[in-house]
Amino acid sequence: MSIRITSNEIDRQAADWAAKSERGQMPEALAPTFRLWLEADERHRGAYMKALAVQILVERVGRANRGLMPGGLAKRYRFPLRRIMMTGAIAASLLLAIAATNLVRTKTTTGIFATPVGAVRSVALPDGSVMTMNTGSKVEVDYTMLSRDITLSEGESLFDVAKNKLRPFRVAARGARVRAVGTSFSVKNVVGTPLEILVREGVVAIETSAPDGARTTKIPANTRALIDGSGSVRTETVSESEIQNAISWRLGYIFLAHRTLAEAAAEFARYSPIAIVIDDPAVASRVVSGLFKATDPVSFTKATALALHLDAVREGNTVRLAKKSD
Amino acid sequence: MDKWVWERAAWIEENILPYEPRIRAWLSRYQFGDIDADDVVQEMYAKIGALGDVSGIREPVCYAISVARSIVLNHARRPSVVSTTSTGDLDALGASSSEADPEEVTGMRQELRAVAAVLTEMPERTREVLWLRRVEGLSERETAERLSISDRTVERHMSRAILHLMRRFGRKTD
Repeated sequence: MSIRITSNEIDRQAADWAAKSERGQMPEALAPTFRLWLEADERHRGAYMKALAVQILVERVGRANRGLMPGGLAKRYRFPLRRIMMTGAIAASLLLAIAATNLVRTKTTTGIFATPVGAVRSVALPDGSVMTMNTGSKVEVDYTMLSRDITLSEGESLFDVAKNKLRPFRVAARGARVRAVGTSFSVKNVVGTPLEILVREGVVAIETSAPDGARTTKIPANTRALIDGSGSVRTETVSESEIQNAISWRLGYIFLAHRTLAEAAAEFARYSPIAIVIDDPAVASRVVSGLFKATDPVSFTKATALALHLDAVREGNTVRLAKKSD
Repeated sequence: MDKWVWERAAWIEENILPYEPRIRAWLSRYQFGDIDADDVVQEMYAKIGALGDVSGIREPVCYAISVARSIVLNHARRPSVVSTTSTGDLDALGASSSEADPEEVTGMRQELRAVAAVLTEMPERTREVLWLRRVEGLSERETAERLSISDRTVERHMSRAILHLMRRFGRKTD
């Protein structure tokens, strides 16, 4: 009979491996050794699964009950300037004032914000960051003393982030996580299109889970990143004016640069209950450019009909674009 | 490990981990050959962790117990063990009943109490590391910076915290 390692020892090894992993994913350098360990005994995988499961338990219960936060942690974070305050009475009172402001600003805030179709909304977040939400967007804000977490479950938002190195600002959307220290970037999570991140200033780090493990991609300013369903990140450099055009929705406009009418119709559909319908593929593939009022697809179709020699017919909640009948 | 390992662990956390004490209680009624209950539980988690898809599993506890049973049977020295494991055992466990028993109704509060208790059992620094890494979602580096300790130390505390959690959750209902 072969000598079996005790299950206790296996638990210890599993805990060691789990501590080296990030949400279960092993760093690339350790992956081969980890795989050997996993395959050495069937019980290894089981112990590892449990090592992850118990962490998830703490994560879930802890996030729902922030009051469980270790006292020392809360105290240290609230008074990061305490040591310096000892240096002088005047400095102390000055810093006390700062610490007090800091306390107010780092208060835990949680909330869900949503915009209806056609609306654009700016939200001033408690840390001084500003979030501008585009049409049909849903955002969950979870601010704690130590982190600023945003979840963009649908739609598009622009984030102008106030710098705070100790309190990472993170936006989660469709399995990816975008982390910024102080920067301005937008995230677009619209069904049928790849997840899109546009960086105006600073640098953001995008965390995605690819088939071969978690991956972090750093994206500099003036870059557009597109993330497809498999989690792979594609980047392209964009000019300042392209960025301005891409976020023209902030002012209620849609900017189209050499886009087909089909693409334009899909874009307008995000902002208005009036649908642009194009039955003829030859018409749908015609190309348009220009800046249009997002909530007014009727004006857009009129202008397009005139320019491309088409008919625009309004029927209830649709506008139909077709070849001129005469 | 595939990229869904965390999602699978979350499924286990939700569907199996709360019932591990019951599964262990069921196991304690049987004698095994060269293995013990801890081995069976590890193998059970391994099998569930390696499944292609769990979305079709309607009664996770039932499923877990049937997995555990097949492991027991494979390792059993005496085949007589087989006859004592009837499907009646599952009913006795309440695993197949869809009615929530009082234990599960108050589950949320108990869970909170249990996590709070287990956290206080840990040394302060270990507890802080676990909180920052998991609840606040900081990376190893960020945690090290915040606590002014080395990455290596963060990892050591994390390992200790995980092992403690593994030993405390699923073993006994206090």
